[in-house]
Amino acid sequence: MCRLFLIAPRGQARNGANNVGNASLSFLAYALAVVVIFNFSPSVAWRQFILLASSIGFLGFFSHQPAAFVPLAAFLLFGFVSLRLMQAGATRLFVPLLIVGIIAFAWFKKYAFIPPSLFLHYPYVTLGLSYILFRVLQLIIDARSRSATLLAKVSLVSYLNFTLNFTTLVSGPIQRYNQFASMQLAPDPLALNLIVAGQALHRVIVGFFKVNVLSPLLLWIHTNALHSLPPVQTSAARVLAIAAAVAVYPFYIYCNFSGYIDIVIGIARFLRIKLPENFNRPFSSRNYLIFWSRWHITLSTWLQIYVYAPLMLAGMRRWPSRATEPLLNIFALFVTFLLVGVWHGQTSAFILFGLLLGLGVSITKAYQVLMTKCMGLERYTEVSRYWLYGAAARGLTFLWCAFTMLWFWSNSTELRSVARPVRAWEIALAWIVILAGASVILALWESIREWALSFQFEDQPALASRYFRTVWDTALVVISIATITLLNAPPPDIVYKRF
Amino acid sequence: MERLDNQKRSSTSEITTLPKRDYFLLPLLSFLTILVMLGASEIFTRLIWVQHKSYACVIEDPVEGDRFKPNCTERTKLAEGPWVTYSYNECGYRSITSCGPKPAGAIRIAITGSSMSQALHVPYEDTFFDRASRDLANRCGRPVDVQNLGVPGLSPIYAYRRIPEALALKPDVILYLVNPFDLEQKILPGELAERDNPTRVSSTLAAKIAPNPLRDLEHLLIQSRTVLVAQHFIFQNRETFIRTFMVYGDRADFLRQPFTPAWQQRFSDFDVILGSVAEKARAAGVPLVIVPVPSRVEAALLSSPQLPPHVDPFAFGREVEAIAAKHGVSYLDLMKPFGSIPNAENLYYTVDGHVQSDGHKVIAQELVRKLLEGSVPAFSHCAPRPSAERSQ
Repeated sequence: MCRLFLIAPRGQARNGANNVGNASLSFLAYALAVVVIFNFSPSVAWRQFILLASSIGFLGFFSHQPAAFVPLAAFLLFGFVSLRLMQAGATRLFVPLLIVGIIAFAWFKKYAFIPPSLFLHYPYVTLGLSYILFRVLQLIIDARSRSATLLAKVSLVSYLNFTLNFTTLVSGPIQRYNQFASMQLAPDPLALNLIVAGQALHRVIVGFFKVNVLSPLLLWIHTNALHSLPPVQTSAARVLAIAAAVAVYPFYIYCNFSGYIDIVIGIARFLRIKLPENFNRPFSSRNYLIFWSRWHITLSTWLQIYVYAPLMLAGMRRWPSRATEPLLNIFALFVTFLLVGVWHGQTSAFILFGLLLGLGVSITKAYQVLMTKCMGLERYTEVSRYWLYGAAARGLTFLWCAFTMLWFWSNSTELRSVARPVRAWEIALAWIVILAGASVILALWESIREWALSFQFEDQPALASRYFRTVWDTALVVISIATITLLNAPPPDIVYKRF
Repeated sequence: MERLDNQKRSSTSEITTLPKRDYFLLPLLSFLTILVMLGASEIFTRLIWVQHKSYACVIEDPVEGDRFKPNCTERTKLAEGPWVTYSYNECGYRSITSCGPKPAGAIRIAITGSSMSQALHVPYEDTFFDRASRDLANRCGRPVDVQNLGVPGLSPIYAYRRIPEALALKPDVILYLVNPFDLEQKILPGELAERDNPTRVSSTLAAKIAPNPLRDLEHLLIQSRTVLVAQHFIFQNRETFIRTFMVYGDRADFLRQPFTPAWQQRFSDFDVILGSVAEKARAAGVPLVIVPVPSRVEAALLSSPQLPPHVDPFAFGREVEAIAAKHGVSYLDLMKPFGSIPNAENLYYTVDGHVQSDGHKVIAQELVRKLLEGSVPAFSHCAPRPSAERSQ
């Protein structure tokens, strides 16, 4: 199970870790303290020092044993030395360093293909290592590339701030170094006025609500649906339970992950850093390729730059023909998304997850190529614009997304166990229900959204006005506080109310 | 979203300072939102989840303990439960028969204890004692008369003081229902020694009378229907209910092993009280049966696949059983039948915590089984329960 996407409820339940690493009130309190201290002085040295101290302090919440940080420190040191070697022109070490880095990552993360006897057999912190890997690889590749524009030499403090930034450490987003350095190392930090602060606070509130209210609610629906599958139920109830369990999970992951991202984007803005967006209404996507350009955007962008593009380039050099280009494209997409899946977890279930992702994008691309060839680009584009086509395409995209995510909350053995009390035709019907339901509900949602945005106030949609946002945010805060309080306060004991 | 985001961005770039009116308007909007949310949710939940309390039949007595007015009837409704009519006979007992001399040929059961005994929030015909009396009457071929002396909040020391009153009814058996909440009620040093001289105000009642702003605030929250409805749904989830209940310290310590000194003291006090009750009952030649009724959290733990560390749902019952055995008192174990029911926590009102009708049915079945076992002579001639029925 991927630990990186699951920020609050399952993470807490699984490892019983402290609350600071999550989108919790403790995390917000810590971030608030950092924000206040960080904004004492606009000087670069002060900002660098506070960000580094707060990131190290943040890590300190996860273990009080210095030895637990040795693997992480070793990996970071390896990254920094590799970066310096590339900047010094030792480009022949490029491939060996990349291979060593990836193997070290897999070793520390205990990937299933490595014999367990080789693992380090003491508890150590790997928090954020998956994201650190991307940042380190990115620095090494960019430093080696002649076309790269790394801002001068990366100092150790900048390197550590970039790789360990506590706002992006746990679950991203994956920022580019140049982007980070242009803000963090700029003599004049990004402006932070009342309007910006209000917008940043809005992101924090929305994210907090998603993680702490919507996520647990959706997870509760998902779990209850799974628990209501025993054979004593009617067929209709079983079909609905399967459909609910499968269809609700992507929304749960979305609320959990995008909520966390909202929070860290908001907090980082108070730290004068603009983090890249990671989600853009993924469930409104009309095909699986678009879905992945709207879901975990920084991951797909990273892979597009560092995996897909080099693969395409190498393929085109090897087979420089227009006829092979679509095939190369499909192949490059497949490999890229296979890696996306493998990166998500250490077990073989994630290889299957990657294969399904790769299959999804490859088939989508092949379909696009085929339709363009058969109908012509203009006609195909026109057909794609039909409302009914759009609704069905959205439903199908969601269906595939929900299907691939089965391997997020389960593995093949567990899925077989869940499906045991259910007949094959009931499972098939459940998928049809999901497809039909998603097509209708997502289309309705799009229409309602369009209608809601049509109301204008001060030359912008009324929903985006600060007045509406104030009301909305207040409501979310009230609901969030009430939910957290009720979920953590003891239930009423028998109180002799009458007396 | 792109449109929304683009417009947000463009508006951000255009506006860098708030208009002056916004310094007043935005906080006001926020404040009004909170007011409207709280008000609307409270009105809505009060309309849907009706609750009606009545104190019309209560006689407050800080010395002898509260009791009910003779020949009084009142109707109440718990938000989570049905309308319930409470009718009290000429002695102020929740019974449909007279508390006068035992009718010829009848078997009489006297019940004492707190709200669980009185069957708070449960319609009369669904109560464990009415179900059991009907069943026993069928099996014994004789009328079974129940006199219920139970009063909500009646702590063990007050229950003890009601024993002479119960014995005066010439019952064939006395049932004493007890649960962890009864034992929680504090007994001051000296109060136990003076248990036969109820001349001073009980510490429990004194605490109720003393002003306490924090408790007033807590009561205000308890009375919020929105909170109640939210809790009703939240605590239907067993794991959440158990996790949050274990947040309690002392109040949840009856579940934790080993018992804390405070709970050891409570059991020690209860030992003294039950010993005295048993002594009086024995002197009058009346069998006494003690019935520890599981609390909702104990029932939830019985259905839970995994127990929190050091938590033992059987601990309270085991301790009471040991005390009962020490004084030669019969003991009715309800943990086993409750444990055999999946999701036994659903036998209770989720927030209120009292046993509801389905739970009373289980208690009635077990009570009948116990009384027909032979430990109570009055029932020795009655037909035992068929095994098939027992397993239902």
